[in-house]
Amino acid sequence: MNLENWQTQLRKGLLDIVVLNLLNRGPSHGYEMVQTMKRIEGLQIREGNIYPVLARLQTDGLVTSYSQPSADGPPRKYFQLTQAGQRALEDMNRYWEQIIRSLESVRKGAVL
Amino acid sequence: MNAQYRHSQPGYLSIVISFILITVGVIMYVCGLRPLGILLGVTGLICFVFSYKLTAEIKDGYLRFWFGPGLFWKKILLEQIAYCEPFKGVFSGWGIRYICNGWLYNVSGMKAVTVVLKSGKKIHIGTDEPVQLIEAINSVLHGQAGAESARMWSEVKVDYLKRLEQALSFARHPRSFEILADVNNHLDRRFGELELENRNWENFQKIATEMGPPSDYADLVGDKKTKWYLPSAAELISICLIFVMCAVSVYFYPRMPEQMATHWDMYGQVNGYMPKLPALVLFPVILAAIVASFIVVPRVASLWANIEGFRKFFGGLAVLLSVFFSLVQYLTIMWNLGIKINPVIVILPMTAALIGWIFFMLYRANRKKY
Repeated sequence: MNLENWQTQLRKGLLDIVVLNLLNRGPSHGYEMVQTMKRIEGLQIREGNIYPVLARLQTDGLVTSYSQPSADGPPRKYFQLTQAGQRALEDMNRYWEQIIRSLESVRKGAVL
Repeated sequence: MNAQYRHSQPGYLSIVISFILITVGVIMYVCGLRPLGILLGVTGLICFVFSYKLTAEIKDGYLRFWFGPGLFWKKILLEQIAYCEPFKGVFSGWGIRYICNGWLYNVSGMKAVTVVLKSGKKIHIGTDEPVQLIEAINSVLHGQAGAESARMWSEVKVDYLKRLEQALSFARHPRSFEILADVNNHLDRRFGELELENRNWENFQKIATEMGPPSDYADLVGDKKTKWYLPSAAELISICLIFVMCAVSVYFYPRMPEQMATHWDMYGQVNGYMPKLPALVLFPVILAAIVASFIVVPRVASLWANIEGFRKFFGGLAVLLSVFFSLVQYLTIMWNLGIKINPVIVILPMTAALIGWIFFMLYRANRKKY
């Protein structure tokens, strides 16, 4: 098994929940989110990966965006959570905690 | 202070049109149609004076441009410019128009420079030498070295965006339009954040590498939702309308006269007849060919990103054409059954709606978002 490939796929699969949790702290733009994630071990992603996710979350109505002028270039596109996004995030976080508990019980042999 | 850059692009078409208007005006005047002659002559003269050339100038910290001799001009404070790049929209005529999120001013040719202000506002200035104008603006903004680095950056960016567009198109990515615009914006901002002395080839390549390979965008989990091969709602409606039209035509075929009335003048009087078989077959066949081309072309087009944002307008046109053809077919059948409704009352508003829709489509027809 290619471990690196598995890790990459897992990271990509977690992008939605990571991005929504980051936006839960306040509005942010793509580059800022990538920089934050680069500082978190195991969540480092390339900038190219975040834009499709943000575009998809926006299409699904979970985030909205607005433009804000920037002193050093074109306006920045900021994203923020919508109410639907907030609700989806709560569900996702709940499910994630459940998954971790289930995985732990499998690892410890508690489930036959 | 002398201008740091100044160039005028001649408006050949305006010159020719003005010349024709003035000549026709003079001929009419001589022939006795004096008011109309004067009107045409004066219109030609005004057309010539205001649009025989478009001049762009950089002077005293401003970028100015004006039509003709400069009676009216527009100026942009150079400090307000975030960056500039070659205009990426499609040809859409000359004059002043709103296109690609900004006002376009041009008199000839298809080239222009897009000036993006720090406020996000865009202005497209027509010119026959876009590269020189961009370099002139950049050299005033960032000095000679800055102009050179902006040119290098443009090469790296265009190369990256081209590869990204191909990757997204290949994957039929459902949000390629949006992503291309975002990535372009992001790349420009990264460039703006680099200090002048760090604007070199290595750092540009580094930014492009950080972005990851373009194929990453298309590979993302959950992003391949578009079943692009399935017909859209508009396409299905058009296909249904064709089938209904065929069924109605087949049903009424035995009741039609051998020579069917198929053409009317503007007063609704019949002035053309056709044998009933071609008369009933013609419209369904033409419409089927048109709708088939509307369905096939977007699916075989190599640049899905360009089609994607445009698809709904394309679909709207297919539905409008199908409704138009169906109505005319049904009115023709009704007329030949003895229910005589003047087809002009349908054809005129439908033609107006079709032309309106086509104008609307052309207005929205940008090749790319970046």
